[in-house]
Amino acid sequence: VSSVTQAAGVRAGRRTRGTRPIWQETPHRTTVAGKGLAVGLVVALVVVPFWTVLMTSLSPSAEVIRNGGWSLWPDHFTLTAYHTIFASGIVGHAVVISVAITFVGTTLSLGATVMLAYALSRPNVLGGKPVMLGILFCFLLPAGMIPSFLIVSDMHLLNHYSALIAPVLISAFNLVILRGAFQAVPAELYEAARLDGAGEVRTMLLIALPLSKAIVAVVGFYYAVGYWNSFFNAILYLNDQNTWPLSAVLREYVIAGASSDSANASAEVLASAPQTITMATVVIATVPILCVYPFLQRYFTKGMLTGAIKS
Amino acid sequence: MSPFSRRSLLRTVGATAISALTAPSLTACGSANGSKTIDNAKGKLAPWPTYLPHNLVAPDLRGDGNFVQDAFLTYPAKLVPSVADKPGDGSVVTAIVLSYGAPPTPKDQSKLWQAINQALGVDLRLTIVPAADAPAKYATMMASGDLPDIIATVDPNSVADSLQFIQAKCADLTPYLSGDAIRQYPNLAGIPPYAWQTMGQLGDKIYGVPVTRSRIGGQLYGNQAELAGAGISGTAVTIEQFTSGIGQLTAGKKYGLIGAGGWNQGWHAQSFGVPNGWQLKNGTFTSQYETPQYAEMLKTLADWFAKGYYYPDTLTTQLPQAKVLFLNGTAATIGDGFAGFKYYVTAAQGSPLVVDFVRPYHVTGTSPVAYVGGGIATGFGTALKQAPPARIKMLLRVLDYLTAPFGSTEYELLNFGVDGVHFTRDPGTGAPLPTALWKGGENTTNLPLGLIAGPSIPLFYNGAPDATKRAFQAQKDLSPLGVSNPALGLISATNSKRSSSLGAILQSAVNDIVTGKQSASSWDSVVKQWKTDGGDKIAAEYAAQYAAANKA
Repeated sequence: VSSVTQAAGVRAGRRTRGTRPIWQETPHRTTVAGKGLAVGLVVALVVVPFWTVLMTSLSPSAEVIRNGGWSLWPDHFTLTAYHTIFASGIVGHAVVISVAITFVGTTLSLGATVMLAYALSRPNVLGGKPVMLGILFCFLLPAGMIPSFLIVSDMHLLNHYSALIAPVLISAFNLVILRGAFQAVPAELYEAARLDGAGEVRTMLLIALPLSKAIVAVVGFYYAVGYWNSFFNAILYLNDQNTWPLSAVLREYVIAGASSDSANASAEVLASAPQTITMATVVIATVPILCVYPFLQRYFTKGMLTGAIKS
Repeated sequence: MSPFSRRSLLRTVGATAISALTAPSLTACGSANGSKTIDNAKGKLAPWPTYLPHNLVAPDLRGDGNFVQDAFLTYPAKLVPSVADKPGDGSVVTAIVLSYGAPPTPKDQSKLWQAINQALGVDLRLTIVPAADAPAKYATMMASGDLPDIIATVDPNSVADSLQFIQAKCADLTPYLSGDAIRQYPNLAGIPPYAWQTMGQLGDKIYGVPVTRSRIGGQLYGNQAELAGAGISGTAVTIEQFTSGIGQLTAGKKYGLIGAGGWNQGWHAQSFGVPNGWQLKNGTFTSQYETPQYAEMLKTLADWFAKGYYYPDTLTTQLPQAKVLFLNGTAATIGDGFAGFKYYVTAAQGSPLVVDFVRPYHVTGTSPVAYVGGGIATGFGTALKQAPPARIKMLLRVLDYLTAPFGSTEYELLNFGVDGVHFTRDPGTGAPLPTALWKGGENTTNLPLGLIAGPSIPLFYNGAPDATKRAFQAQKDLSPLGVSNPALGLISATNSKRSSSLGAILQSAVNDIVTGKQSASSWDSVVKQWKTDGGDKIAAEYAAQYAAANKA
């Protein structure tokens, strides 16, 4: 370590005061300003579009038209777009459905994935290899829409909420990630647990899971976002729009009016969705995930550090 | 460490590749179904339904029953019932239909849905499919074989084998609709012959009821006063006048032209006399892209783009944004469908803006045309699930009710809702004025019964008789120039499979040429490539179908 410090000190030349490594130096003011500018720019790239979306959704339609489709600060705020969306009651209902599907789906998916990943991560499990191969096979070559539909239909899941969860219960991608995390737990710990008399279930719950908390949280977040955003299965498997989750319902608000301008179809595209409604839709769909994110962020940081330091 | 060796992975991939290769051939065996064919060549067509136009209410301006629609300047003072009895038998009727709207208010809360069910005498249960997801939803419905009673079909080109499916699984309606049999359903008898013929027959049988639409297609709209000030007015405008006109309208942050992800080349092509999609000569189909006029048009559009006449972000603009930019004056003109006119009329109400139709301009050496469509909404009309004759008759009576013409009490319910709930009457004209409930979403855009069955809609813009006159005059001016697409109603398997990818290649080449990234002379090689990639095959398939249909 000391040779590295010395080398850094030599290279840094006249900036070096004493023997501190370069990253412990007080940075120059221009450096700080430059960093601030760069970070500010990146933050602005993320915040400004979302701010525009939010403000446009709160603007009167006429003002948005005057401005050419957007607004950064409305002359007067209005909730008309939100009233329009929630008026029929179908969106409010869809929010409840989405929250329930996301909660139940994530819980079941996470539970199932953890159990399967743990089993497949242990060496010498009977049938472990063929099962893993089978899973990867399905991952690489998904069955396609119609065969999936026929299976769901034959299992009498059509028009039932379980059709939104059962077909996507375990994601092979998440499974592989979790399995890798469980395999990364030192074998000595598993061995110690076994010597202490723990069975597989106890080892999974008390050794593997706590040591992989960060990854489990990230996988759970993937599942939750997946359930929250998924609309296609609802459109395929649920015939009654009144039973659709939020993403499927909001999608219709966004595409209503945005459809083709071909001569024959546009008879139906009379009530073009004003920009304000589209933007309000984006806000409604994004806010819940934004609310959950801060609670999971620390796990993301940890997840990123996993494996960075060799013990 | 991975438990898989490279060899075992290769084995897996190999096995899958084999199964993937064999799968299509297995399904191909399965779908080869007996002797039925959708071609109409071998037999003789069933007689088309007798045309009995409605005379419920006389229009203020009479159309020609073909390209020019009837027009009403005011709402009819006295509505007439068009259906004698309640059509339904109280049973549950299921239907699948497309939607271009937001989800409707649930039936148990929707006064509109309840009133319509009451009037129909059935418990109508709808599976409403967003138009964008229709091909997937219809494909799965066909695969499962679980059909609703009423199937409002989608474009046969977007779902493979859908016509064969209709023929195999849906009711043959010939005995109920062919010839004079249709007199049982007076509103269906008011469907104009062109709509039936565009829909066509399958194996010389009638399998559907078409949803009629205006035949005049895409338009360029503009602010009447502004255009007239720039010398663009009337039917005799030359391309030189048009070019200088849009040049005058382009200034600072204002632009003469805007497109929605394209250049409205479909509209401009009409002025250059480009054929509507395909040209048919001596049984041979030639694509519009191969014509010298098309290349000439691209050169002109590129010139306009270079001069800055086009809104710069045209390629990334979608129609709703383009509408906004037109209404706030950023763009002087906008391209949209004919029916889109209603939007501009409504949006301009109470403002000095007068939106009018720009007529095709004249280019030396050629004469302008006006593209006309088949006059039906997308799809193959509305088919019915096979059922005993009594039920088929009941379902046809339901469709008959939904086809009630303008000026009937049924039309008012289906298009304006319930008096006092969804609309109030204009004290002066008696025309229905929508209430907040209707505007808020409990309307027939969101409850899309009009896509199951509907009459030919006359020109009528509530409270805007001048707009009606402008639309009528536009149709009258355009109808002598009308040119249809000879490939209409013909099915090309290559086109079904590859039209979107082939179209994307052409559109990107058009974009490159118009924006000056490629020279106009590169178009020839693009078209050549398009022909070898599938264009020639599509032409050959159309020609074969056309020849078969005209053999007898």
